[in-house]
Amino acid sequence: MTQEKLIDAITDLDSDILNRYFDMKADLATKKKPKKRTWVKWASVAAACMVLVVMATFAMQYIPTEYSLNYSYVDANGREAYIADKNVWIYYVDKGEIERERVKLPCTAENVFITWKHLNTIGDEVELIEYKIVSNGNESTSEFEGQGVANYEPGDYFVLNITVTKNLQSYEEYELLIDSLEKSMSEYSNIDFDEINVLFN
Amino acid sequence: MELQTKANSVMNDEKIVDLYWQRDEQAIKETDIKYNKYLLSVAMNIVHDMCDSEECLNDTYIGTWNAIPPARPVALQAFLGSIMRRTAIDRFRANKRQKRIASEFTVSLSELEDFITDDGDITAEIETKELAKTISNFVRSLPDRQMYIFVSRYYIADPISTISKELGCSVSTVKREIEAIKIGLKKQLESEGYIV
Repeated sequence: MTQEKLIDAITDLDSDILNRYFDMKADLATKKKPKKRTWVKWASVAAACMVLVVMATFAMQYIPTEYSLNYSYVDANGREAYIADKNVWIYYVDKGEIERERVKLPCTAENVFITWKHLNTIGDEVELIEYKIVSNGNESTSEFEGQGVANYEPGDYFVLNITVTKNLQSYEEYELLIDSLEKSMSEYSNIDFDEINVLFN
Repeated sequence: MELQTKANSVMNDEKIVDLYWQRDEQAIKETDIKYNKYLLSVAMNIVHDMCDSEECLNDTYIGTWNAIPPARPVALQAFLGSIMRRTAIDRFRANKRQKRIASEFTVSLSELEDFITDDGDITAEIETKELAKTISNFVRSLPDRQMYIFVSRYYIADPISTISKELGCSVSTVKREIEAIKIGLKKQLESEGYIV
């Protein structure tokens, strides 16, 4: 078969085929393409961006950065236990005012202190020595059916003693720093302390 | 309002054919208004030259004027397309004798190289009309979409990208369908002894 014969043969296609073709072409041309609703696309993008911004803003409050926290501790039996996260207010000094920031962290006194130091730009040389809650509760022992029994009478006066290294005193606005430390360390425990003492060692 | 005016300004095919029968030269004007763009695109796809295409268009109008009457085409567009295709192919062959030309038509032809042999035309005794019948029967048996692709590609010589746009699919989809059509056509031609 030569090229010419093939071309001529295709040229002689029956007219009913061509009619079918032109009908279909007309149909395709008249079939209105659905208008691309570009505003829907852009609105979706804008909405997604807004959600991201809101989420990022929200998340930023809870993501501790640039400092490391302890996510576990070794319990009395020598087993490693993981500490549950909790949202707490950490107070810090900013231009002579005490501000606060919501932070999600593994909730221990040590981690609260680390975060407080971070927000107040306090160096590693300042350390938490002791975090101790003292109350007027009374612990006693008695005897019952020949066996010793421990008794505990809950107190109604709670004192929080926070002992830190004395180099904290060398920081500017030291008194405000102490206030912010007291607030941070007391609020996270949900105990309404009657007295809070910051001690230096 | 504007659309209505435009719709009213395009005469229907039956009336145009009537004008040819009445030997009214307005028939050519009306044909030109309605089919100028389509006919030029057919010619351009084959000869790939605007001047040649316009000459083909004039030849097509003359050919149509001479053919109607006695012909009374039911589908004027197909009738005009057929005349234009013949005219443009003649021009293409003339150009090809003088120089090498590149067009969508040569590209579409190259796709059918599998069916073309230069070994002295073994099937010389078979009339082109019979081959056309075989191809027509094959194309008629195709589903609408493949029929559309075949005619667009090998009759109108439309670029694949144009076909894909018209059908609202990707170029690769059209290419795949062309391959399937070619395989089918080859089988059909082999079964009827056109390809040995």
